[in-house]
Amino acid sequence: MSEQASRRQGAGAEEARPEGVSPVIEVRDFAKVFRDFWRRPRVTAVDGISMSILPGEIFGLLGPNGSGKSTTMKTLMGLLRPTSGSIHVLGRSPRDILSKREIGYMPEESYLYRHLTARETLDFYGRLFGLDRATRRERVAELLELTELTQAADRRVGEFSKGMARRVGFAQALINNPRLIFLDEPTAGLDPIGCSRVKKLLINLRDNGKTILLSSHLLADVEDLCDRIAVLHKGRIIARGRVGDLLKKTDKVRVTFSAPPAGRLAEVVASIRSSVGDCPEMDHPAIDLERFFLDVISGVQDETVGADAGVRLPLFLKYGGRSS
Amino acid sequence: MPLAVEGDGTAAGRARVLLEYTLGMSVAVLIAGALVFSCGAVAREIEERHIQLLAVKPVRAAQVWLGKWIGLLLINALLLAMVGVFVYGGIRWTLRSGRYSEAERAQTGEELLIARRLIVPVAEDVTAEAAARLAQLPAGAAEADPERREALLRMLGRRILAERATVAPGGSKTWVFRLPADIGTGRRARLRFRLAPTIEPGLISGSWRLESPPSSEGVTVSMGDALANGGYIDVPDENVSAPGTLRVVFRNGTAGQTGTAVFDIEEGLELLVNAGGFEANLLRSLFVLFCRLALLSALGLTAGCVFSSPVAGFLCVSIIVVAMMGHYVTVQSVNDIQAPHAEDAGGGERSRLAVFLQNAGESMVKRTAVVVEPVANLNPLGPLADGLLVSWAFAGRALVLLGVVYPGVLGAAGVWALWKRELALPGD
Repeated sequence: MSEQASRRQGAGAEEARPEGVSPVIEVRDFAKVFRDFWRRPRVTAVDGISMSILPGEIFGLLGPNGSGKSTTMKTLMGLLRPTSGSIHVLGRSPRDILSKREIGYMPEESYLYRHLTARETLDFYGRLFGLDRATRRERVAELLELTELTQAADRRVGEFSKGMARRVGFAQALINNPRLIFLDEPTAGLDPIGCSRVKKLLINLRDNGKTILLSSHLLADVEDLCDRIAVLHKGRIIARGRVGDLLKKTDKVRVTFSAPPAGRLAEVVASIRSSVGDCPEMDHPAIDLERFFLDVISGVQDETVGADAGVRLPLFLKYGGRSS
Repeated sequence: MPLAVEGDGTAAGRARVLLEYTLGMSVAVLIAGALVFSCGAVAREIEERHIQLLAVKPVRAAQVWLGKWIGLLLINALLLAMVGVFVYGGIRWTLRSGRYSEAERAQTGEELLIARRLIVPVAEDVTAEAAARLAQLPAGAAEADPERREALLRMLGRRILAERATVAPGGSKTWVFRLPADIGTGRRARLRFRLAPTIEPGLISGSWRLESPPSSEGVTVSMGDALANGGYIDVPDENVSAPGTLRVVFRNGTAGQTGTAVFDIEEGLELLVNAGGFEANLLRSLFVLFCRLALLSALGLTAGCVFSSPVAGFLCVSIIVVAMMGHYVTVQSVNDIQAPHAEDAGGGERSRLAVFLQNAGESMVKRTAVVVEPVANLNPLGPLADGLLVSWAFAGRALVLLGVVYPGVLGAAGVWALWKRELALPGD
């Protein structure tokens, strides 16, 4: 068995937690069985998982359809009850009102009220958090600007495109300056520029102390964003750990250097072969397609593309900013 | 309805169409609307997943239920206000339209567009006579089970009342009214009598005598004058000054000059005392109707917390139908004897099943009557259309029962169901 395979096999086990750090989310032997109307068990969606999510990290939940990702996320938010096991979010039950004060949630689909405008939507959810009018007005304006919806603030959500509706969903997840943010497919439906902006924003939020749990099928985005991931399959965690550690091929080394003059390359190859006995594989390193796209777009636009402009967090979302 | 139906061509008839049918039908539509809106208020939120964004916010289930209910109340209030304005405006416009004579308009104002306090005569005690007659029945009937004996006594009692409501030529009948202490003075009072539908009023002659013991002053009114007055007898103010009694005696004419007078058993004679204006009465009636809509909204909302919106709607309609049938059976059982048990007709498996079903039905009606009857009796449409007072006490009872107690119980159940329920649907 390769070292990587054995690493993966053991990666289903939970890692040791750093001392003195209380997890934001603690899950112990959580199982969820869906029953029919007559209370007969029909589907075991989650089959006894345990995990901890630490403060200030971006944690990714991956897995194929039906692996239990959404069930896990929804149970962590209190929308479902665990059949067995224990779950603590911010030290309390997920259904505790006090927990919910510090949580933001962006669903995969837009579950917003179609008859409300973007501004009214954010104001409505802000009121549910008990924000006063002045604070709401300020935060709504800042979030509309952050999500580039200021021009469309007074249009009804029902008239929005999918991407615009998702941006409103993202904004309402931040209205209360949450400590913990649940994101279900945060970049789905966004164009590459929007996608890049969201990723920068999430990293910014993480750097300002937020904890983010996201679920996504877009593996490239997960790789860019997440500090740690857990891979679910048929309701169990089959791999978990730091992204870099999981993806690293420790049995190989890659060296990147400037292209040598013609003729010298053969000497380099011969030197390597004589040192390690392997014939090295060589190619020109490539940027990823997303980077290429953004570079091309910024090259033909007068102003800096929004994605490259950097994302400025509103003050209330930063460390030391006003809390809800 | 008011565009299609003219009534009996009189101003009162037209006003009655507006009050009884238009208002009644409009309220029926509002009831249907209240059920549709309320059943979907929470159920649709769950089905369309809006509630998932709501449930992860620091909002308690009680706040969700209460917020939805208050929103429904506001809609109900607005729609009911529009109906009230339409009905009231229709009545006033009708009376001012010039189609009716001054006398007709005055009569409508006196009999319909007013709030009159209804005082019924002291009930006649027929218990002893009914028991005596029961004892005279053939052996077996009196030894029946207690429920059957009770039903027989009720039937005999009604028979005795019917006999006493019949006044042969030369005979008389007396009613006694106990006047409440708060009846006040200076209020116009009238007696209203109703003969059985089979009696031709024009064939009845005689006289009415009104007395207020211990005073010896009295008033005599001929039957002819009373019939000319539309079945009303004006009562002098001194006869209705509280406290005291009003004694009314009808003496039928002599044989050959008159027929047998048969009075309605329940409404043979009633005392009506003016107690206020129509506008305030209409407002109180609308308030009671608002309370009924509040109860229905609470019912639909709670059903929607448990079931999907179509199932919740079906359940609510079923509950209302069962309640109405139970109320009908309860009302009828006061007057009618119960059907003989099927086992009396001759035994066998089938009859035992019939007995079981009948007993189950009776048990269900009795149990539901405890809950349903207080609600069913708080209906202002009948009194309003009859020019009777819908009092503040009546409105207050409606507020407490229909606006607080019953919705409170339903609300507690709905909140519990919402709290218990998993709000993410399988497959999300």
